[in-house]
Amino acid sequence: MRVHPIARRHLLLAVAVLCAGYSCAGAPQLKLSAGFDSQVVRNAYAPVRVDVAGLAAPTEGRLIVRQTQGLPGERQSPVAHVIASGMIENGTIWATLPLVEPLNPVVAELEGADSRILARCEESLRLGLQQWAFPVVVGRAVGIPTEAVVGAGELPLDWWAYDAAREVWLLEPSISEPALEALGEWTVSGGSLVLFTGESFPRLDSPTLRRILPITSPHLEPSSDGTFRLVGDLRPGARVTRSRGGAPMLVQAPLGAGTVSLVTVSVQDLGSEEIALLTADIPAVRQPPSTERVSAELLSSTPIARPNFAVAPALALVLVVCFILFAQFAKRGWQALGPLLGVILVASVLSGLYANAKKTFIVQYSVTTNVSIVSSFGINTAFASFYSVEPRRIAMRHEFGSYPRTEQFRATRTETFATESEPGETRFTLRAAERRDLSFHSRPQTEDLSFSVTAGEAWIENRSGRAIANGYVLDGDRVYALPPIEPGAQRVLLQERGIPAEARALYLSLRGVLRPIEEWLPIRRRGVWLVTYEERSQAARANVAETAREVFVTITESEAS
Amino acid sequence: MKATLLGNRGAIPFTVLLAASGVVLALSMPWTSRLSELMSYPWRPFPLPFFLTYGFFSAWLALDRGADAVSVGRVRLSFLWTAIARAGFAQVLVLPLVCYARVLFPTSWIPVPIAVAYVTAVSACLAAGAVVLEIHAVRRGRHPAVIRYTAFLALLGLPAAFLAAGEPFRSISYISPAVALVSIVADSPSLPHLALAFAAPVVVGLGFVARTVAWKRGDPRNDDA
Repeated sequence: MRVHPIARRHLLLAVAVLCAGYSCAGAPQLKLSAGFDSQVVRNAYAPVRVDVAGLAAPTEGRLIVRQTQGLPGERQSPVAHVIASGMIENGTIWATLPLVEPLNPVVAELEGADSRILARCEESLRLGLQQWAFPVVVGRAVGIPTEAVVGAGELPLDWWAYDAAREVWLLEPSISEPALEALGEWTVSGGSLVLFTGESFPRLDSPTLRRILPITSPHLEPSSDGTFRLVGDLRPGARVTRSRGGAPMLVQAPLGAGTVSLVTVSVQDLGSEEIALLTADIPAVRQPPSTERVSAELLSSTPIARPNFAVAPALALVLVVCFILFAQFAKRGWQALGPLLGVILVASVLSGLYANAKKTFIVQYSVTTNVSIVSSFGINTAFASFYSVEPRRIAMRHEFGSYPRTEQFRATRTETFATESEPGETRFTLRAAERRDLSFHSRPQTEDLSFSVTAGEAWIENRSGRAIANGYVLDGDRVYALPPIEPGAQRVLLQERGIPAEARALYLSLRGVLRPIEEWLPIRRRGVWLVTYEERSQAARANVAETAREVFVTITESEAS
Repeated sequence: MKATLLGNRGAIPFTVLLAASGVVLALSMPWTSRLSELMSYPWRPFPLPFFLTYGFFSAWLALDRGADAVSVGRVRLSFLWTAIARAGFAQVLVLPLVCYARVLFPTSWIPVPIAVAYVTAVSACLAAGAVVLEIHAVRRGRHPAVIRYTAFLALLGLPAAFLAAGEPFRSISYISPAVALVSIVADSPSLPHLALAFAAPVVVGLGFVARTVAWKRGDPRNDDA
């Protein structure tokens, strides 16, 4: 059969296109981007996005982001984060990761089930490296120096992903609820959120936004110049910072430790001069106080399980004396052997029991200080300190997707800062006599406590299922120590009384973190707050002699305040 | 009984073993009570000095008491059993200290019984060896103590020289009691290495017993009765 030359050409072209398509489908491709508008800050968390394409079918494997800590010429350590595992398919995978050294390239690898690398890409973050936190603008550029302009769809859903943001300007109203929730949480953690409303308010409005807004009963009102502005009643603590034509233009209110700045008009209605004036009014982010000091202090004060000094020499002395007595009486015959063997048997059993009964030395110590703040939004922040007597491989469990950040890079003498993070576990190696600190953030999974105050009485609902031993209510400068908070709902009469004696030691240890948090929120200047704190310790000797102390501090704002 | 278990002026080696092991064990304990002190003055459980002291003085006691068990001019199997009984008695005496040394092993107590079994096997072997060397030296008219301790140092040092060699010759170093004991306490020796370490004193000890039996049969004047 003869084929027409043109038909043959088309046929060949079709085959070539099919082959090319097949080969593309069989060659997976990765694309990595990090930060806001590619801007990042060294050792700060940043949103990392990996686009997977070209997979012919969902593939069993792991998606790993590899970084290098330390500059070339210095001691360098590999840092790996597994951001997805199981069946990987084409699409976008987001993670919030600490960028340890943006001067080194970041690599994304798709690893197959047989540990073979199926796809790899390398990205340099060097050009986007900023020394300090920078403003993030959602929508279009407004001309703030070093601003990072991102689209509403690029906003991360983890509040700690905004670690490098100095303030977030929300110009684009099409924000998803989870993204708005993350912005609210970030604001509670000390962030500075700027909301532009005006005529675009109906598109922005949502239940989550209502918890953020510094005004209640918001509604649009036409202005004389034909534009619309948002009006409403000021929330407690809110104030009008700037007006335009006699009407409020900028309303600011604290939210947790941060500030919400509401611009009542849309950005299109503002001139460049007005935007410049607004820029000066926006407060910068307020970083949460580190709990490092408390963790370090609790770690240092941890007692060491060890036998009494006197036991070993006393044991040796008893044995020597008994043996000398035996040697003296041995001339008389075998009768002297019985008491000596009796003493040895008793001493062996007792010393063996004593040594086994929690007197073996602890090899690994750890202290984790967890601070939860529950206001309009809830956040968790934790600081973990590890110390090991011997070289040890540490596996630290954490919230899923909450990758920890290694602290004190310069202060620690170590062989390596190499870490491998899975979504729920991070592994690293401690050398002998090394302390390593890590911090990580998350959001509260459930709200264990509800709290409100009315007429000298606190109504507390404890849904954690267990009693909370230590707590107090802060109302301005007045401190009301509470009895143990049993599970369930209860009313507690607020009386000024001291911290109970059994809780005093822990309370004094925690003053180092409670004071800065009280200043930072600032809970003594507004509202009524419930502060609970407790310590849980556990020792394990099954495989590794280790002890772990965990301190939990929860600061809950009164629902009525 | 005194002649059987202790021998002439026999209390001294036992007392030295107990006192030296006790002092080293006491010094192996940390003095810190808070982690802050441990961070300032890093310390880690280090059981090796205790086990080396215990092993060394057990070996010395076995050699000394083994040689003391021999009566000049005769060859009897009872010399061997007396020497081995004295080495075993020393191990019983030091048992409470060894049980207490468990505190120096935070993760696993398995090395403790293995080390004790090994020290006991080596002590028995050395006690039998001391008997054979004593009989041999007296027969040849040589100074028995020089031969005894030279042979002991050779047993410690010569196989240890193979530590510098590559595998598989490096394994020969496990014949040295010092290398084997350090490995048992501080490392986790492989099963073949452990078997080699234990086989050495057992085989050499049986060789000493065979030599004594051969001497006894070769000389009809010797009688165990």
